[in-house]
Amino acid sequence: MRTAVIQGIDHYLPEERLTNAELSALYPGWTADKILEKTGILERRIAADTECASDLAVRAADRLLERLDVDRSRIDLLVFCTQSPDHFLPTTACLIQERLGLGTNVAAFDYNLGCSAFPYGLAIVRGLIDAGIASTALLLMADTYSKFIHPLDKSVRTLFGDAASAVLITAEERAAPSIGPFVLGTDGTGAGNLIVPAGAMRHPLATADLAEKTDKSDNTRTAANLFMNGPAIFEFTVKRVPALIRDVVAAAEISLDDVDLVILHQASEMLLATLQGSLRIPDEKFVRHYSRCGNTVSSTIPIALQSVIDAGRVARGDVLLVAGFGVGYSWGANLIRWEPNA
Amino acid sequence: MTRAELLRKLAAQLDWPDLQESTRLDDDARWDSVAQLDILMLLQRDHAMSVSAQELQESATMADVLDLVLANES
Repeated sequence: MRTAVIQGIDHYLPEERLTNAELSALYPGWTADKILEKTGILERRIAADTECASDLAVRAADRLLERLDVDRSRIDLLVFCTQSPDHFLPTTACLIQERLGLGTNVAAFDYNLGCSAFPYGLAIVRGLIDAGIASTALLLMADTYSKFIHPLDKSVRTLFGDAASAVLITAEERAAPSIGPFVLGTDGTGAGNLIVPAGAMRHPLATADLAEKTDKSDNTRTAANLFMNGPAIFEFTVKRVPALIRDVVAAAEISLDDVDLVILHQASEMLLATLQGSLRIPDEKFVRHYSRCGNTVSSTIPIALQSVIDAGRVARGDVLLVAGFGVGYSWGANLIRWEPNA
Repeated sequence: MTRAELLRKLAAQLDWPDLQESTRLDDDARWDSVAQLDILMLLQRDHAMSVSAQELQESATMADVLDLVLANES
């Protein structure tokens, strides 16, 4: 059967590093050790003032295409996920198409999701490839949340880093689908718990929105900054994600024991430790990769996946489970049978 | 788990040795989102228990927190 197959993954991290020592100097009572204990993160990468999501994405895509020696004229689909686009319009994928030197036959569009971006992106690309609409796809994800974050809001500044990732997916003949099944879901009642309230059409930016307010946890932000209700996000995650994992293995008619590696959205050490414990996943099957880049939102799963591939922890035929969850609320999970051509 | 046991456990988790049932949370800077996350994580990890983040955030005293947790336990 004709089906979508992942051929390779790469990523790009911006040059600037933000360390726990720098953050602890800003937040009284927060030592570098405490930040590490709570987040599991040693440093985050921060995009330069002039560096946007498209810049990071082009770097990641160039790395991937050069490493795999891909003929760019073969690419006929470019799907880009970001919540920090270069402009309201045009869609950032159009800018990336031109900068990557892709043909004008490329179908290119953005989608707006955060931590669930990877499973959703795979579902979109697999759908278009399996339907015969595309044959060689670039799935790109990039976010620069740092541009939304107030420097004195430790609830988010200690967690998030900027990054881009790139995945090449092609149409191949396989005995069974290589990507899937999928379980996707949404609960918009949680929208206010991870949000940039002002700056778009529902709440256009006004002078009053730039007034700084300090909350009870001593975090300062404006209405144009990222707000996260950490305890509410935690509650959502520990209730939703175990069921999501059970649902996707059930949809595949396998058990979690049949999965070789589990790669969850790399949110924070507190969340990952809790989920690993409640799902009883052994350390050797549970991937952690965030200490040197932080929570990079849409790119956490592909970056973590690349890390285990590069480390030789993924063998041909292995079954990988990926699951993303967060802003929206939005969630998704799927299986990947690792079987690239080379 | 008795109220006294739970209070001792939460005080240890929060590194808050003088925590009492009567401790007012709504005007104590130590009762921040990280402290609330610590409690949610402890309950999930040690007791497979999930309590409402909103109710936890709205607790005015530690007695309210104990009521919330013990109500979920039963």
